[in-house]
This record gives sequence, C-alpha cells and structure tokens, in this order.
Amino acid sequence: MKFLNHLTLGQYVPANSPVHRLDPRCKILSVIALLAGIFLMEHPVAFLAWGGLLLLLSRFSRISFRVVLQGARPVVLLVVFTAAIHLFLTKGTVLWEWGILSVTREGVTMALRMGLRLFFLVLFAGFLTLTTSPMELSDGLESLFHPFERFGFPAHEMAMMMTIALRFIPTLFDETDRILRAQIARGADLEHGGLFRRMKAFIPVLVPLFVIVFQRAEDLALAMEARCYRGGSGRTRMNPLAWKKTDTFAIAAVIGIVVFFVLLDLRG
Amino acid sequence: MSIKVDSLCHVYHPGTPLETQALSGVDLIVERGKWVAVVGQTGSGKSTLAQHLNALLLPSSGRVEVDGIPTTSGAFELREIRRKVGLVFQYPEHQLFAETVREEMAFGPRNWEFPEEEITNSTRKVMDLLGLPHEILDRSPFELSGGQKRRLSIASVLVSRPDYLVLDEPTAGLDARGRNELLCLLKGLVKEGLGVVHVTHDLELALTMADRILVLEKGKAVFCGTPGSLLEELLERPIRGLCLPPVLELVSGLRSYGYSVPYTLDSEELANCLEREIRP
Amino acid sequence: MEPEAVCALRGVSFTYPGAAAPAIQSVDLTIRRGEWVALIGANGSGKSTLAKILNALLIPTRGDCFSCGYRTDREEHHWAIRSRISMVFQNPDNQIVASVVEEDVAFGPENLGVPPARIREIVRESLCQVGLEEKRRTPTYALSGGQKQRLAIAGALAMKPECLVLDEATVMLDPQGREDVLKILRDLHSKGMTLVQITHRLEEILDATRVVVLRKGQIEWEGELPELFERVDRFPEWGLEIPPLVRLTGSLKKRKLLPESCLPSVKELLENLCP
Repeated sequence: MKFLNHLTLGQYVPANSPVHRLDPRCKILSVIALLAGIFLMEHPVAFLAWGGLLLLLSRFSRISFRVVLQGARPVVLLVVFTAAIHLFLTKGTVLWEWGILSVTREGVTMALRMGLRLFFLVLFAGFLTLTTSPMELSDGLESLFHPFERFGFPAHEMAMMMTIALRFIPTLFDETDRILRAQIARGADLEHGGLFRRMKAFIPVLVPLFVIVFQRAEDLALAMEARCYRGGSGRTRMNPLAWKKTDTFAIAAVIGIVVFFVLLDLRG
Repeated sequence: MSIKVDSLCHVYHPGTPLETQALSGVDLIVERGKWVAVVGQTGSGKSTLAQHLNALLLPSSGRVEVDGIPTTSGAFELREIRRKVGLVFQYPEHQLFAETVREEMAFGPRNWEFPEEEITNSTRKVMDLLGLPHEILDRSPFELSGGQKRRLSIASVLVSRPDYLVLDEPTAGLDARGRNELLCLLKGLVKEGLGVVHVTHDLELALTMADRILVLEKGKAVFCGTPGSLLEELLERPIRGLCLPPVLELVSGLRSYGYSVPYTLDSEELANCLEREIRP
Repeated sequence: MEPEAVCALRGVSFTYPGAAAPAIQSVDLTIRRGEWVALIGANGSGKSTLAKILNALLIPTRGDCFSCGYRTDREEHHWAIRSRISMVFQNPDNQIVASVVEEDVAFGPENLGVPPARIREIVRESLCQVGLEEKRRTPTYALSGGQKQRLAIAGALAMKPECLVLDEATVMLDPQGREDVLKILRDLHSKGMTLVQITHRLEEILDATRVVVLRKGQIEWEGELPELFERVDRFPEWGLEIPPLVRLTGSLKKRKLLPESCLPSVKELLENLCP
C-alpha cells in the first residue's frame, strides 16, 4: 500500500548557519542569478563545477546533501522524462536504433544537458526553501515586490497567502492521507480500472478534502481576525529584514561565480 | 471466528532517519460479540494497531488473521477482509462526501458490489439501528448535526454488514447525551454478535464498556485482560502509560495513605468501603 | 458598566444569518476582572456563539455587549477589544499561521505594530508561560496536539490581553495535553488573568470562581462551584455528564464524611479524607 509521504517535500530545516542568516532578499536574488547561470550552461563537464558548488553550499548551510537530494525527489520523474524526450527526438549521428526509436550522439549530449540542467535547477532552488523559513521568504518577496505596490500589485496579500499555503501543505498532506485511508476502508478502489474510472474513484477523496480546506480556511480567517490581523499596513516584524555587509558580499560572490562559470563555459 | 493478532510489529519509514518502531510484539484476539478496548496515550501505537486489523497497514513482522485469512493474502482476500472489518475514523469529515445521505450509505456496499435492492433494505435497517430518521435520506450529509454525522459515518460502514467494527475515539467531541446514546447503540450491536474494537485514551470509558482491555505503551502491550482483572492488577502494581481517571487516582491516593479501598468506578461501593474504614 | 467588569452583556441575542431560531437569547452576563468563569452546557447550547460575542467576532443582533469599556458594535473599537480579550479555539491546527513556533507567537504583536525588540521580548515571555521555550525554532507541523494548543495559547498571550477566552480548547487533546493546558490556566489565573473557559467536561472546571450553565441559548443557572454540585440532579436536563468523582463526593457528603464545601477534585478529597 502506498500512501502519501509529505517528508519528501523541500521544507525549511532550521539551523544556525551563515546561509540561514543571510537576508532572504539576498538569497532570492542569488538563486535567480544561479538559475540564469545554469540555463546558459552548455558543456556537460561544466556541470562538475556546479556540482562542486552545490556541495559547498550544502556544507555552508549545514544541511546534509542527502536532505537536499530528498527535496528533489518529487521531480525526478520530470527530469527523466525531459532527458528521455531529448535522447530519442534529437537528430544527428545515429548510435543505436530499434524500430522507430533511435539514439543519436547529439541526443545523448542533449539529454544529459537538459536532464542535468533541470535537476540542478531544482537542487539550487531547493536551498532557498531549505534555509529560509516561509515567513522570511514571504517577507523577502513582499519587500522585493514592494515597489510595484504603487501600480496596484498586492505584494503583502500575495506574501501572506504564500506563508499560509506553505504552513498548510504538511497539514493537508496528512488530511489527504487520512481521507484515502477512510475511503479505502469502505472498499474504495483507487488503483484499478481505466483513466475515467480512476478519476471518478477520486471524487470521494476530493470532496472531503475540499470541505475540510474550506472549513479550515474559515476557522483560520476567524483566528487571524481574533489576533488583530488587518492586512499589511501598520504591521511590524519581529525580525525586520536588514541588509548587512555579508549580504552584499554574498551576492557579489554569487554573481562573480556565475559570470566566471559562464565565461569558462563559453571558452569551452 | 475471530481476529487474531500474533506478535505484531510495525516499523514506519524503515531504513530512513525517521525510522520508528510503532508496535513491537503485540498479541490480541477479537471475538465476535465482544467489546475490546485498546487504551493508550497519543503515540502509543493504538491507531497503528487499528489500521492493521483491516489491512490498511501490513505487518513488518508477525501476523494478523481475520477469520483465518492473513492480511498479507492476495487482492481478492484483502477486499473481503476490508468488508468483514469495518473501520471508522475519528472525524466524519474525513469520509463524508456524497450529495445525499442515501448515496453516502450506498458507497461502501456498491464498492463491494452488493445488489441495489439489498443496499436499500440494508440502509433502512442500519439507519433504524443507529437512530437516524429516514427523513434525512435525501438531505446532504454536511447539513447534519455533529452527533448525527458521527452516527452516519458509523452507519455507512455498518451497511456493508461487517463482522467486526473498529472505532477510533468514536465519542470525542460529543456531549453527554450524544456520547451515551452512541455507546448504548454500540452495546446493542455487540449483543447481536458484532465484534467491536474501541480505540480510546479514556480508561473510564473502557472500564465501563469493554469485555477486554488492551493497554499499549510505546508500542508494547503492557496489559491485556478484563476490566475486573485490570482493577485487581492495579492493587499489585501501577500500569505504565495508563492515565488513571480521577476516581482511580483518588483510590490510589487513599491507598497510599493507608485506607484499604478497592479500585472501582462504582461510587456507592467506594463510599461504603470508605465509611467502614473511617468509622470502624 | 461596572468599573471591575471586563465584559458586560445586556439582553444580548444573536441569530446566525439564515437561521430560524436565535443561537443565544436575552443573555445578561457580567465578567469581572480576575474571575475564572466556566461556561458549560450541551452541544448547541450557544456556548461558542457567546464566546465570539465577547471579543467582537460576532456582533449581537439585539442587546448590547460592552468589552473592556467599548461597545462591540462599533467597528473602530474591534482591534482594541480583540487585543485585550484573546481567544483560543478548539482545533489548534486551524489557528497556527506560521511554520515556525516563534514566528507564530509573533503574529499577534506584529499585527498590533509593536516594535521588533519588544516583540522578541514578548515572544520569549509567552513561550515561557506555556513551557515551549525550548521549541522556539521548531517547525509547527512537528508539534504534538497538546503542544500545538499550548502554542495557540502563547499566541493569544502575546497580545498581552486582560482576558483569555478558551472555546473548547481541550476537546481534541489527550489526557496529558488537557492537564498541561489546565496547569497553564491555573498559573495564569493566579497571576491575575481573567479567564472564560468553555467546556462540557466538568472535571476541568474545578478551579473556576463562577459557573454559568447555558441551555438552548439562555442562561439556565449561574453560581459558584459548591452550589453547582448541589444541583447534580439537574445535570441530565442540562446535558451534562455526572463524573464518578462527583457522584462519590455527593455520596460521601450524605454520609457526613466530607464537609459540604468540599469540591469533587482529587486534591480536595484527599485533603479532607486523609488529615
């Protein structure tokens, strides 16, 4: 019997590391720079350098590399799928053929490149959520999007929504698991039959989940109201964001590394 | 004809840093027509045990047999085990989904491919049994009161005619009236031959209702026997992991002061004993 | 309104939109500073509705409610009222906003615009009061049910309220979790906090200074604990359970083995029976 396991999601791991202490805005911008760098990556060998950087990051943030890899588990299938598409659909020098399927030299290179790109993307992005609490993350985003508020962009509301969504992910996984068990105990068969039948079989799981989500949302809204929540204006923070020298240094270092890697790569 | 649990062990997340031994070497027999209470604190493994009884979880080692069929059998036997052992979770919110009470009741039996006519008859019978009026058949299950929802979730399991019923804290959140009504109904079902497994952290409830009590602590069975023998056992030694209800806590205090009073929930008996002790 | 009153309800009725009958009807009730008021009654007797009226989450459809000197029907007073009368709800999971313990405690004072240094101080104090100071940086999903409810209490205390309203706050907890919550309440009350405790478990109200019994939306009875237990015969009618300890206490009083003033708690019985 396979039930849901929420432990595989890339969640915040509290620790007192230099990376944890960085300003969330610094981390968000760094991740954007890193992701851009990975997108420009061409030579498979260059990925070794990026891999090295990952190990370094894991050391600095005091999060074991295993936990980092676990966070990427949900997307492994997507990575494999992307790699497979490139492996079989890229035209070039044929290495191996079977029926309509053919693998080319270029295909192997493309598959490795695209697969690794996607995989690294998820791992680097994972560091952001592993080392930044949802509250910090949304504070960071709110602050970065703050300039757009004058054009009517709801930066605070968006950030609060994100905080709550992240907070409720584990709870909702637990609920879904419980509903699945309750319906299987009443003889529900979720594993057999065609696509349509299986979709229909999920109605008894989805309806209670929706009802619970709405009930929770209503309760939570009341609880927030009772705690004097009234939107972003007039709110203070326990730990206001403060851009430190280390943040400037960190982001300069990240941009430096990305530029260096990209130049190295272009030179081949 | 019984559920037999034989040196059952269960390990969650084996081989990961989160590995936890939820049950270790638990034995239990649940016969039809008997009320068995499984008592323990949060994290004692009682919910894990409940899910083993109808094969929602499978043993890491040891065996669970329902009327002679092990829960590790093939898919066909598994379906039969799940029908024979009905499992009702604590909150009706986790299972109620249909547009009408009628549809909610038919969900289980349809999964087990009961003929429609039989479902209709069975639905009416079970609703009478649980004191649910027929007028609510066409209403939405979400409109019912808390107590009615709880009874509907039990009815929707009973309608598939299980031989055993496993209930996880069925009275939590109900007031005195709702609670007593529900317990009365369940007692009636047991008299008619249903085997009930009642998972709870309320020892008082277990002592008044059950034929046999299993006390779990950290996944181990620390006591298994009748309510009478549990009370006698308390005279000899405290049972680990057991949260005594106030009256028994009082008895324990009185005994350590030197009064020779028995462990009992019967207030008259206790008052008589105390009177004899204080005014000999 | 009396100077010592935290809340005063005058002829309050409340009907939910779309409901045929009122949930509570012509209720007169005063909650004084430093009191521990237990609101008891069967499911559907209107206890929770009454609780939400106290801190202006619901506004009476008829009658007036004054909380901390403000009329609750004026929206501009709501923040002032809610920061002075805090509330803890039944399901701890549905009142925790943040993913890390201390961040959740900070949510209330942040909303009130308290300066950061003071928030950190308040958070530390509040977590100490509920015994969660060690769990400061723990993810909230990793807490047990009892710990989550203690966190919810810390979150309410962080508003620095005068009065704490607990709406069936122990229903979803196991015996240990319940005892932990009650211990916190006793501690808070001894330090002068006004408490309004809503429950249907009589075992939990033995520290209350006053008891209000609600039935079908109306106040059925009001008085102190010893008087309540003299009216055991009416409990079934009020939808209340008679716990075995209450029966035993009654029976011992009849035999003159206990003084009339003795409450049905293990502690008091032992004190009286084992001199």
